[in-house]
Amino acid sequence: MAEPTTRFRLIPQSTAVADIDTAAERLAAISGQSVVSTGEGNEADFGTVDISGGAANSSVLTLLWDVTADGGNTLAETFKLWMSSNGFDQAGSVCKVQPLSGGDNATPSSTENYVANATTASYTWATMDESEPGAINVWPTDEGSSMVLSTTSDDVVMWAMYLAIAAGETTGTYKGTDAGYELQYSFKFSYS
Amino acid sequence: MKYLHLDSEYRDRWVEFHLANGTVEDSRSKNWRQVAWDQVIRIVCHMVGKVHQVDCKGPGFRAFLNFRWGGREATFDKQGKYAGHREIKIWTIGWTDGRYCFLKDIDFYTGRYVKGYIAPLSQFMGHIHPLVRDKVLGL
Repeated sequence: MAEPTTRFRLIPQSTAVADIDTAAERLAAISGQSVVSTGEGNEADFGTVDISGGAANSSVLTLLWDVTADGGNTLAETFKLWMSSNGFDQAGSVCKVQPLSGGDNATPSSTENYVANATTASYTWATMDESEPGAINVWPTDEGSSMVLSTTSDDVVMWAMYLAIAAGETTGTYKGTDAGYELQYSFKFSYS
Repeated sequence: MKYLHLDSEYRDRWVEFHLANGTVEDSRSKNWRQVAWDQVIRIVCHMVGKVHQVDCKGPGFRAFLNFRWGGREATFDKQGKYAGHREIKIWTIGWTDGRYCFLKDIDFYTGRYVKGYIAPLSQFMGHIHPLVRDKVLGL
């Protein structure tokens, strides 16, 4: 078996619920999507957070992960997402996350259904893990622990996230490997 | 031996599946899902000159597990300072008693043993070989 090829995509917050409420739609090109890099160049951008008046939040981002070439494997599972490093100096500065499903999951429990133009009030957020979680913490829409691979995965893993920045946080541009201003995520999955 | 279509990095990285009848299957020539999994008595992982082995001697042994980890994660130096991201490439071998998995992670880059751990089988249900699924789950 070779390794699967995967991608991360950022989709516009204005994406209509009906445009991603089937697995086929989520796997296809979504209008306005951008494939984000796992290195420097075209990272997902939270924008500027103005904390001149105290604690503040970034905009909400919606991201999708999927397998684009199975590498001879037939299944992927145990999807884990965590914030592996941040340069924040204030303990209150954290990343908030909510695993998402499409509207085709009528009874979400581990996820919440995607909401168009989501704000920080749209979902029930948790603080993102800052070390590798012990178990799956993001899911495909059916909330199964795995996805079948047949050339591609049979769905995507989707989540929303934003940064909650505490008052008094050191100002600057947080990104990549910049010393003291690091900001990266890790994503891990098993396959066979 | 006729190899599967694999990159050259698999020249020094493969897993052998030893069957009870003496046959040795090779991950480079056969997908593990095509192996007679109910007959496997040993898994031997050959990774860049290093060899790691799992036998069917654990208490309550029901079946072997064989899967890999992918993704991307941060790495840190000995002082705990961030040292960049790298592709996750881990080959995991182990076994299950039907409730827990007893696993060994092998670093695909170096062949070194990364860690051994016990995890609930519920996290790896998809990696149960179809031939032993009923046995593993006690069905």
